[in-house]
Amino acid sequence: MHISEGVLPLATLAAGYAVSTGGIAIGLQKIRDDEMVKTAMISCAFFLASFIHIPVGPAHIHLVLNGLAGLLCGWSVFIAIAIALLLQALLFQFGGITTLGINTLNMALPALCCFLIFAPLLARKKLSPAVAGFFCGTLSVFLSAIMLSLSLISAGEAFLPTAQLIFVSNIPLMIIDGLLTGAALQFIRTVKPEMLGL
Amino acid sequence: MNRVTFTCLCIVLMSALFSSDALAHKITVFCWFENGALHGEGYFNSGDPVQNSSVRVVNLESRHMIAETTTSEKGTFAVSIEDGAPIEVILDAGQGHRATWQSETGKTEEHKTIQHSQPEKTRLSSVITALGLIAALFTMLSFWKRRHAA
Repeated sequence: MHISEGVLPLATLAAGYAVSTGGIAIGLQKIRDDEMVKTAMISCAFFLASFIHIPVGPAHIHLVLNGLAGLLCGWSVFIAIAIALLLQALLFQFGGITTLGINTLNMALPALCCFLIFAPLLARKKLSPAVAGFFCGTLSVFLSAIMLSLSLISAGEAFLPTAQLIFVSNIPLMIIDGLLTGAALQFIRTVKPEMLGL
Repeated sequence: MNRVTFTCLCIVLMSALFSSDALAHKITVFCWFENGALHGEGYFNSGDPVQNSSVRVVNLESRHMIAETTTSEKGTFAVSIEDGAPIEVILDAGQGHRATWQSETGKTEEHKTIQHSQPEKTRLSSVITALGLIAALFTMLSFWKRRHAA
């Protein structure tokens, strides 16, 4: 789900940087010292998850796990994802520096939305971790795919077929990410429920 | 080691186990001239063909597009172009996966393949470097937060 350099118009790139910077600033304010290790680990996991590619038909899709990252990090997910994407751009040329803002926004904002929706449900025990994780993982990839498609469409109607193709090709990923997030949350619920506010 | 650290470490280590797939992530394009046409093929490091992906041939100097096509199910493609022009072939598999091939003379025997895929050792060391950098950045952030809180 990385957008390459030279595709998007300046306005989209600037908007991406502006909103992401705001998210990172709030994340820096909110992050506590005892959350540093957890956020760093989530950043590492997000960085590595992008390398796990799954063949779907003629294309390859990649794990995202931004829902899991959002649920565990809260607002500091902006920091975790921005650092991971920066290193992917610098070391592996995935995405790019000019698109770092919009790529961060496309991944982190859905993650934050999932945190705001599912963290209270988990804390009140209205959903089991496995079920909440599934919907969280699915919804975060769904929202990211929509934002990615809208970002591409902002470059012109010529990108409409590409945007549609990317959205459709990510539908299997929504299910896979949901299942993995559900399994991860169930595991965390067993070994360290405090991480989920339980 | 407390349980939080242990849980997080498990997540990272499990991800690291799968990161060998990263070696199959990059794509490579290779081209040659045959019977007045430019032929080529694109493949992932795993050897899987890069299917149904955009291929553009641009003039190396003017950057004007000369030809455009898509790869087949086998990852191959062919376009008719004038022999002798300096060209660059750009294979774009989307989502940041891109490889190029250049020929300054437009002839197979003098072309130079640009290998965009990093060697496996380099990639592994890059992954380790990235994880180390993340740890270092968050350590710095922790110090910064403590200093501002004090």
